[in-house]
Amino acid sequence: MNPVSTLKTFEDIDCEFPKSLQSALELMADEKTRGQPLAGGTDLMVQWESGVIPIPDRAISVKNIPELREIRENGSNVIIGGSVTHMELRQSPIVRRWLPSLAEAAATIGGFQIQIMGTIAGNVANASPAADLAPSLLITDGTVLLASVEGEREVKLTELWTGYRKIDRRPEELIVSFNLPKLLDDYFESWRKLGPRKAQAISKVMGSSRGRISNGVVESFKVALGSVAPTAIRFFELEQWITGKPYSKETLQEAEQRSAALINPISDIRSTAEYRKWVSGKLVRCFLENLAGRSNK
Amino acid sequence: MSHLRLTVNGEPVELDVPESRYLAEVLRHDLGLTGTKIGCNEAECGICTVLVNGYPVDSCIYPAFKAQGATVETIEGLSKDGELHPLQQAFHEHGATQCGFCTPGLIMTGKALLDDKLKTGETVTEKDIKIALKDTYCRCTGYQSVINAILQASGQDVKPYLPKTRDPYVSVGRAAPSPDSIKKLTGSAMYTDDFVFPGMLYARTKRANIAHARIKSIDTEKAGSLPGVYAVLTHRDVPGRKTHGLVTMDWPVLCSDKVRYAGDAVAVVAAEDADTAAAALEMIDVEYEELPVVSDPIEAAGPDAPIVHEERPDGNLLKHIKVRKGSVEDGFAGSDVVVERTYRTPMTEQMFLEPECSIGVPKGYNPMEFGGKVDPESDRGVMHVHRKTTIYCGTQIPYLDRDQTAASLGVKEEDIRIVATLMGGGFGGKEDVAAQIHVALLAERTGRPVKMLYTRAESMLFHPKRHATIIRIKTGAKKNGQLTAVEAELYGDGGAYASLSEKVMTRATTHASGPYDVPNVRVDCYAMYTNNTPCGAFRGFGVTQSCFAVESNMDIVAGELGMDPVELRRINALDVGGVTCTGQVLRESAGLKECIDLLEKEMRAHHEDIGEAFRWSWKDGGSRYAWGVAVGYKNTGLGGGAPDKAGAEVEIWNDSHLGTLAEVRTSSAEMGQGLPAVLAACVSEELGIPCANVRVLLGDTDYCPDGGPTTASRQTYVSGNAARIAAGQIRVILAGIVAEKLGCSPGDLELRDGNFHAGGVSASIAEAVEWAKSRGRPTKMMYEYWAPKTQPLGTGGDMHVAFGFGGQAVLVEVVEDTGEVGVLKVIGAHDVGRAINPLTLEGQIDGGIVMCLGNTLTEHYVVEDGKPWSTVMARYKMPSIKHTPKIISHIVEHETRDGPYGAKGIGELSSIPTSPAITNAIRNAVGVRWMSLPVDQDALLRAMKAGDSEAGIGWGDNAAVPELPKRPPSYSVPA
Repeated sequence: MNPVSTLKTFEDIDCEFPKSLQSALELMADEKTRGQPLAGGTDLMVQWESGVIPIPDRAISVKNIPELREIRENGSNVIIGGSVTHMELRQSPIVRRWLPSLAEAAATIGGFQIQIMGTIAGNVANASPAADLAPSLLITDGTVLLASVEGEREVKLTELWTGYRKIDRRPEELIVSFNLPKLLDDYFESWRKLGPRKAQAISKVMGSSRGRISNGVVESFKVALGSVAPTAIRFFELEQWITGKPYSKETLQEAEQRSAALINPISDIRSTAEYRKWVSGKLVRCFLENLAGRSNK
Repeated sequence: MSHLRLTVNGEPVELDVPESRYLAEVLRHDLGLTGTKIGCNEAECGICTVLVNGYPVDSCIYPAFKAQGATVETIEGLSKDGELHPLQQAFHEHGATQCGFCTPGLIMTGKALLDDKLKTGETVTEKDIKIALKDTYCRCTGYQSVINAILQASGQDVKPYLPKTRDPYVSVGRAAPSPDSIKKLTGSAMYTDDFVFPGMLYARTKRANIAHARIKSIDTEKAGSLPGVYAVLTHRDVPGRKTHGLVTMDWPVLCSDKVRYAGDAVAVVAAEDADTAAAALEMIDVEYEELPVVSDPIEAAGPDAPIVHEERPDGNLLKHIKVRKGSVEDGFAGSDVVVERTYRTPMTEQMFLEPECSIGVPKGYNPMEFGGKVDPESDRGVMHVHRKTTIYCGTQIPYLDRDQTAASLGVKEEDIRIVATLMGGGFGGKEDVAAQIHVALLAERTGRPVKMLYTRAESMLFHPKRHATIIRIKTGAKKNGQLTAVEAELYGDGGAYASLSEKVMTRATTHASGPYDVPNVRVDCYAMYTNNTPCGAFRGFGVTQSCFAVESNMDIVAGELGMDPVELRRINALDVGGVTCTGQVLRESAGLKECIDLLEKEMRAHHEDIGEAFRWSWKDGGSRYAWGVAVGYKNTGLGGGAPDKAGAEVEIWNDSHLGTLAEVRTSSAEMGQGLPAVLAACVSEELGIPCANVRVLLGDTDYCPDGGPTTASRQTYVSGNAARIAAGQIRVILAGIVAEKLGCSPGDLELRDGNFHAGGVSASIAEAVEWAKSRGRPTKMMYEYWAPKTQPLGTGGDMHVAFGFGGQAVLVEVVEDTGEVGVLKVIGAHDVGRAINPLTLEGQIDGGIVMCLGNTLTEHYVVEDGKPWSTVMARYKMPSIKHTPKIISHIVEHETRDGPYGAKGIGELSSIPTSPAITNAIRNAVGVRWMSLPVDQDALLRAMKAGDSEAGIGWGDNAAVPELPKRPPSYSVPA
């Protein structure tokens, strides 16, 4: 008997709390014990409670598995466990030093209450085109480590999102960690999110870039945007085109036009495709200008 | 079940809870720690924040079992040994608590930030606060006081922001925190959902969820036989009047033949728990025959529109309201410039953070029969034998709740008692009856107390909103700037039921020529029925909408005349001797010109302080910046010939420990606006005892005289006067007896520092009270204050007792690449008559500005074909702390003769000029005049790119603002 309103989620759901990665993977291996991986619950709990997605029979809580909680340097890479929270990301000296755009993106997700619950793997697995961390992950050319009892599998982040709210994870797999190349010296990163202003819109466009301009030439430029397509995307065509080009007014202008042309967002009544295209071009231009500004120093 | 071990506020706790229970309910229900509030149940509003192992979590979505072994801190654990935590102390001093419902969440989130910074030793900055608290909403304060309070609590020297006001008398004019603020800050303040009665049942409402349909049958048999269900009621079970309404009785208590909007109530269920009640709702079968839907007020006026109320003679016309002054034909003929435009504003939602809750207790209820005990010490003495059918609820109009409930129960009004509990915000949204009648019916049917708490979704679906309007307005002016004529036509979407539409749209109409002396005015307003959510009262009461149209047109006129927009307003501003559009001659208290001067001076100072000349707009980096100005006015009091009265009772006595105390009792409502502070100041002023010694009892219809509705910015004026005069009468009695004792004339006595003085002798107020008691003189007085008589619209003369005047200058930033609009600074200047408490006054100003900032930039209650799309809080963006601009406030005090100490109302005024000030600023920044609200960032960018000088969008999508029909509506308009 519940005299008060209750969480529908945990009335029928069986939630397991494995203490180690191995026991979690064992639970995931068998269809009978497999459950929806659950970390901070900041997306799933709300979606379940509001009826947006059906409540599954079982869930596996991965939030407190020690192996998934670490942030460490590994040579030229940074390893970040799947259950690291947004708060830990934005506070970690390692992340701030070597992956500044990721730290900045994490700081823009919700207020304190969401940041201490939500995790990097959760943000990635929710696979929203508007996932805040996605662009910052994409520009690193890093990988994600997935595991099952059968073994481990490394997937390029640029190949992880396969469609709207879909990722390349097999049912028995869990996201273990992210292996992200550090920002090299003389390279710079930028992050920007356009806040939703309209009442009726969850339309925000956000993006990250990483690159280097040397002696007036764009030596390297990687850029990814969210909310402009069914998944967050890298702008490979633009990156190829711009590499080796002189940093000039003309280059900027063409980069802006090319970026706007690259995306094909869905136009719904909440926001227009036209707006997202226009803003995408402007964001890319702004990233390049920002990069040039810092490179000259 | 989980066996849970926790440490809560330092105390070890063990209990068994179901897995389905979330932490907020374990705290509130199982541990009785009701200081933690629930606002949305969707991790959106953040007010349920508690600390788990030092980290802030949204406890409304946090499964309790996840807190196994954890240390939990709640608001109740902050103060130690009666000593407030620095955050609580700072919130108190800064007036950062208004309705108090979100306060625990703000404080706990703030504590997490301070604790975190304490570890690193870093200084807390405003930016830190804006990041940490951006998911913790507050609807009252506008956040400026919250930011300042947290900065102070972090050890920085930050004083409460107070506008400059005149020197105080004894208590009147002195800044002081509201007397109920400490309870709100420590979590002991009781809102309706915090009360639990032994034997209580839980109720839910079956909603139509269909916009327009005929009811063919309602079958409740299955639901009624579900174990645990005590009662299922339909329209057949309403013994008395089947409808309710504040003006027109057209709102069914429970629908019988038709449903007219998605939120209509068809049946109510009481069960032993909320889940069973919810399950029973699913088992009620209602068969509908769907009817065509009308969801636009202009369509509703058309000849083929579906009719919402077939029984009405005028089709969907709810009310045609007219204002006539002079001849607009002559006025326009003599104009050098005529500007005509059409504007559109959407429905908006009050989004008070406490969803509606009512508890009905049946006549004869005895808690001992259900294993409880009678406890006179319980909060508000609720644990007692109830002689009458009693309803506990947060309400803006206790006596009208009483009358409406009595009518539907078929009993005398005196047989019903309403106990108004604290309210977690109202803003007009808690004037209509919510579940008050339902819980009374269920309680009487079951013989048990029954609680009905709406979910956030249900609250958003059910209660009346701000009217969507379409306003065509034509303004004429001479070359010298003098306005010659204003003609306007308004369509207001009243939704499915009348609510306060007639009154709200009247206010929109009578304020449609702005706070200007315009010789020729013609306004026609059509309030229409549709199948949308009903619209009613919302801070600003129609004037927010018409001010947007009026003040947008004023800037266009200024542009066409090549005149400074501030100057144009100054030339035409209503002043003493001026005549409003309804023919009211202003004889006093019209401080608009002073407000305009202050705005201009402060705008200039913004630039001059950094050594540059004033400019309206400029460009810097990728952004454009500009100022925008708008002014407005708002009536104080009901006006229009309505009897406008409030009663208050004041009693004085000597307490053996606390000294001389007084209590003021009235059934006016406190919803965070600070009424207790005002009443306490009035009584303190008259009786010469400290404010702290004045108790305030509000909203108990058995103990408090009728204060009338808490609406129309009227309570300071009417209840303030009633309290002032009742207390003054006691002073006269006391002075009389002191004069006898001291052998002097009462006229020679002076009340100063708590003592009566005459010549060299004196007597303390405490002595006077003792003497009065011993002589059998009254120490308790009731006074019913009647505001000066007003005239109905159309008859000329004084339609209102007073008007508050004000203006705002807003500095905006528009990002050229993205169309993002940010409000950086708001300068306000408001003529309030007299500032009775500058601290709570500033709270009203900050809160009103930020609420209207939301009205301009983010808020839109979307309804598509009668089906609300804005069904959850996540789909309704209200301003968060990150939107808070810098607010600079000037107070103008042109006293009004009949107001208490000269005071007029302020509750609504501050949320009136903000919208047009922002859109005027956007126009000055990027050259696009925005014709509709809210300002759509996509469409703004599109217009900027296209070089459009005017743009706007329709409701629901990106359609253009529609043209108004060329001819008047086809039905005959009553003369």
